[in-house]
Amino acid sequence: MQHADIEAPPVLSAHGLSKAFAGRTVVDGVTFDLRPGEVLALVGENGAGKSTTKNMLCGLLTPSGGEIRIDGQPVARLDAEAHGVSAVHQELSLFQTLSVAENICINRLPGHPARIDWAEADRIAREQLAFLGMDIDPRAAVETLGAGRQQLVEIGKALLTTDRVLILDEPTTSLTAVEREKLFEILERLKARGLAIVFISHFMEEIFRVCDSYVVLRDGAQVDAGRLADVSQSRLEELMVGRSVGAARLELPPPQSEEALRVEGLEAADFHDVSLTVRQGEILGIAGLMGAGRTELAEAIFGLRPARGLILVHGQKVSRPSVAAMKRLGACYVPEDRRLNGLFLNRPVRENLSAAALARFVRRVLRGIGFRGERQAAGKVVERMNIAIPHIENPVGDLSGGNQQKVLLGRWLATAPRVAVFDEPTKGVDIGAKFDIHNNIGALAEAGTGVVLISSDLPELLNTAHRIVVMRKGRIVGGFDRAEFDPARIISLAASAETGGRT
Amino acid sequence: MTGSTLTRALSRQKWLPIAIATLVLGAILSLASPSFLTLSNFQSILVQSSVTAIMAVGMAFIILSGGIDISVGAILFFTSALFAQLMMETGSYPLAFVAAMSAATALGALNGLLVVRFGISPLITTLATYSIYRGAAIHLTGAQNIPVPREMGFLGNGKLLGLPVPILLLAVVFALGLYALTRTRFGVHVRAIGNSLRSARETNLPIGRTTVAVYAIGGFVTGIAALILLARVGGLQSGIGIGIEFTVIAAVILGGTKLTGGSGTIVGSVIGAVFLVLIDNGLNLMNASPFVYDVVRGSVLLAAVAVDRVSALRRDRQLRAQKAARLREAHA
Amino acid sequence: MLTRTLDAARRFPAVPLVAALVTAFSLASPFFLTAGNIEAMLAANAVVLIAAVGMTFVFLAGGIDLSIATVISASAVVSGVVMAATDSVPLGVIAALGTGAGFGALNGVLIGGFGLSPFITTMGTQLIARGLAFILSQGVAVKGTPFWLLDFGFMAWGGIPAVTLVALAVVALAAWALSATGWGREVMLTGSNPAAARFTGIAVGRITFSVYFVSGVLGGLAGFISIANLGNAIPGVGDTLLLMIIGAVVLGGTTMTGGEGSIPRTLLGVALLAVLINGLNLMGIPFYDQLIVQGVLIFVGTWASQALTRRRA
Repeated sequence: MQHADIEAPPVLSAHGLSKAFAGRTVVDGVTFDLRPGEVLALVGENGAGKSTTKNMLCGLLTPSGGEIRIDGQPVARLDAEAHGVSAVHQELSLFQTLSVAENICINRLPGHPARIDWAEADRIAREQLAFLGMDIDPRAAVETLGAGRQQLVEIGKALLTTDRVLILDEPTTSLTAVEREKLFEILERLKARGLAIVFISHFMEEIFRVCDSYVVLRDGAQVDAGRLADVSQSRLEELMVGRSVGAARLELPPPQSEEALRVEGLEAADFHDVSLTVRQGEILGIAGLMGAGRTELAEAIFGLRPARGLILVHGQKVSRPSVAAMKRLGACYVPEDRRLNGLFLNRPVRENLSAAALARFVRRVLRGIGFRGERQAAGKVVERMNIAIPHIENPVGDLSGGNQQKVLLGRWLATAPRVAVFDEPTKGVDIGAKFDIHNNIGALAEAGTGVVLISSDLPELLNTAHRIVVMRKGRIVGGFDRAEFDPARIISLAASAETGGRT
Repeated sequence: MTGSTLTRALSRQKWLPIAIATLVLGAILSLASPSFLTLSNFQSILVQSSVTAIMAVGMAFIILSGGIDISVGAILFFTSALFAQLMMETGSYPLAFVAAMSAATALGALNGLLVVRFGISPLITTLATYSIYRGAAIHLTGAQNIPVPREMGFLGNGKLLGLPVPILLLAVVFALGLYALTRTRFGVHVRAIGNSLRSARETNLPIGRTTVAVYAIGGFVTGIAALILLARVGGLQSGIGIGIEFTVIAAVILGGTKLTGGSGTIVGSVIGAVFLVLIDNGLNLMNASPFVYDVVRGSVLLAAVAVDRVSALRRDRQLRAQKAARLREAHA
Repeated sequence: MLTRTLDAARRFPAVPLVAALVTAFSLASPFFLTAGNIEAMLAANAVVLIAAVGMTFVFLAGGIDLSIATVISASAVVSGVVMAATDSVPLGVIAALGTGAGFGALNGVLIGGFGLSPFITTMGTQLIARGLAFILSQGVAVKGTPFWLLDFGFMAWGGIPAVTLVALAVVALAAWALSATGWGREVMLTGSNPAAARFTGIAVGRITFSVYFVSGVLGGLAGFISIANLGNAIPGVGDTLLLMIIGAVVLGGTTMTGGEGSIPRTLLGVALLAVLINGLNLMGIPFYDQLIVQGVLIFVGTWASQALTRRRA
């Protein structure tokens, strides 16, 4: 690996960078120097503050404290365009109906504004595509490309507007193994060109392969920074997680023998031949990378996307799965994206809590909702879930992330489920809320519910699950019992490149 | 051409379905009536569609950018009223012409400004300005019908270089619209903003400026349409522009432009307007009651969006099947 | 105290405006607060009120029904034709409600079942309903309204016209259905976040269907009431009401994005426009200037109520 010139003056530096929203500090004390040709790893768990830091570094957010320096000069608010900083966000900012050339050149359309030189635009796009090792028609609409190619087009777009600083946010999650290798090659070439890169990732293997230095964030604060050559992978993981694995381990009774949920040979566009079984009182963890098909699997089980295969709840076959049908069988699914798929943000907490169990509150006569029963039930959930709110009539959108997540969980726990599928239940919540949520999931299992826990947070799975299965590229590729949990093997199985790509 | 190539062409060239439908309808009509397939009838159809087709070019920009303008009928009426009133009072063509075109553009731009500045949905915003513009126009004329000078007829029925003037005007608007959408930076921005406002923000595109410009263009071309209409009907009448916004939007949607923005064409919008006139012609041939026209137009619109939806669902299903097949293959 | 006032203003942003208008007009015209004028004002707005209730459900579920105005016309004409032929008021009611239900069901199936865009779909059915009204009536008022219905149009109890009582009954029923039934709650939740509603097991398609169906039925009822009001079924009776109907709903503070609003708010929105138009009429303001004032009020009112209800950045 070619080393960055440590003596060169830094092109981008941060000094004590912090950000607070509504008085709550979410990022604090981020400090680093980034030199031309250097790749800096910004690492941390979900919710550690990586996104907020990234958004400050590319000018989408104004820091509340500290300063950003470009070429040693402090800047009040970073202007990405003027300061030569380009970011590739995890959620791509491409225009799906526009062509590849239009997307790549969107900020630098060649020719006069009143007369675009399309031949030149195609040439520029082709040049970028060639640099990125892609042979695609620059006139093709971006929506016709696969996720991996779109990711590379976005990088091409970013490279066109900067030759100084490039920020990449989890750039490999939607790539095949082959594409990933290609990306690493490209990064080498960019380094050689003197580009400074901020690389956000939580894959250790990638970080040690690509990066020169690192900054570790935990719960919004910078806990360590330095050169990767001076740190071991296990040390870095420890810094990220902040506690040794096993510290907050749930002590669970062994599962019962009766099956709660069984899935056999389930097939769809995003996963292939998936079979799994959860027993009553068991917590089954599903590990895997983003895009491995875990969320899609859960959604298919609940009829939210089309699939073929066998689904059994407590031995009863579900012929036409749907959320309502599964609910009748006592099964619930708590989705990953709570703002998009979970909560009714402008509605009161009370309505959000009763949404899944509304039928329980409807009176027999006149078919009206019994508001007193609804309020009491909502109050009970608030207490049980330890939700911090001034009033159950406040809109749920006013709550913090952790409390929102508890509301979503509480909605489904109120249905007293016997099978529960949780998708990233602690994503983006603070430590306290995480603890409460884990305890609630544990209590559920103890009461005999079969639990499926999908999580990208490996320590969470290690601490709560009886059993972990690993999904990769739409398939279950391995399983571990609690006694044989091995973080390194789980990670390598989930991220392994051997059979991943289409070669 | 194989089936799959045809489907692909149909889904890529958004205007092809309406072009084919128009040709088929034209063929049916020429079988039904020998006088249909004549140059003069062809010209007459284009002249009849010129007003809505010109407005459709502007509406295509607005819808492509993710907006909608319900007030275009009121802008059409206001421009006609202002022009007729000024001609009656001053008799000065240059004055009336400049004032009318400026007013049309300004009213459109005002819609855009309100949308950008106040964050109220374009539908409600332009519904409100629809009422304001129409009220203002009637206020201006005192609710009178005003004839325009006879020589104005040139804009509606006259010929230049052997071609009817409305067709020439339509050709110019069409060519400029096509050019602006496909060859200028502005055109790219319009489609980009309509496709994804979030991406447009993250990419730092000039969202406000582009939005105002798009509505201003809608107003400007409506001004041209107003002059043609005024010339063709001989003066200001109280019914001018009522309900035309729906015909114009229907033309754009039939032309394959998505109401959600970001995807669509100028060509399709113009053909959509011609298609609607062809339907009227056909009904006319059948001696249908004029009241039937609305029913047929409404049904055609519903059928068109239903067909579009079915083919989109089918494409989704195919994509899913392909993805599943790839996955199977990868694990085989 | 301040927060409570602000909270009330959020829920009923139209109240202070209505009060201000009533005060202003009663000062400006001695006729404004007379029993005769109030009765006329109430009767004249029963049709809009009933239709606005239908539109409120559609808005709350996150949709729009552009067809409701011409559905009023079509239902009035169908009902008028049936009554002219049979001289039966019950059959006329059934015909009106049936026509409205038919268009509502068509909208509902296409939008809720088939996933078409509400705007385009109801734009299409709007044209069909208008055509139907004119075809059946040949473009002229349908004669032969039963005498009982003509009498009903003039009936009043304690200064409140019978047609207004019908409209208020609709308002009361709708307010109950929206705020106190499982269906109403599901309408609200669907409009607030359709994806979350789906993930919660709410039959989003069926709920969507139901709001368009209700809107159609209420359009039908409004059409029937228009006959009682005007004495004849007029083919274009509803066509120009769309602006008032949508304007009343958004002025009341129900947003087009769904999940925010209520039936009482719409009642206030209708009251606001009714008072405004009546007052301007009394002051001799010509109809075209009223159009300007209406437009400005709808825009400014919507902006103000959005600003009040927007809680999060």
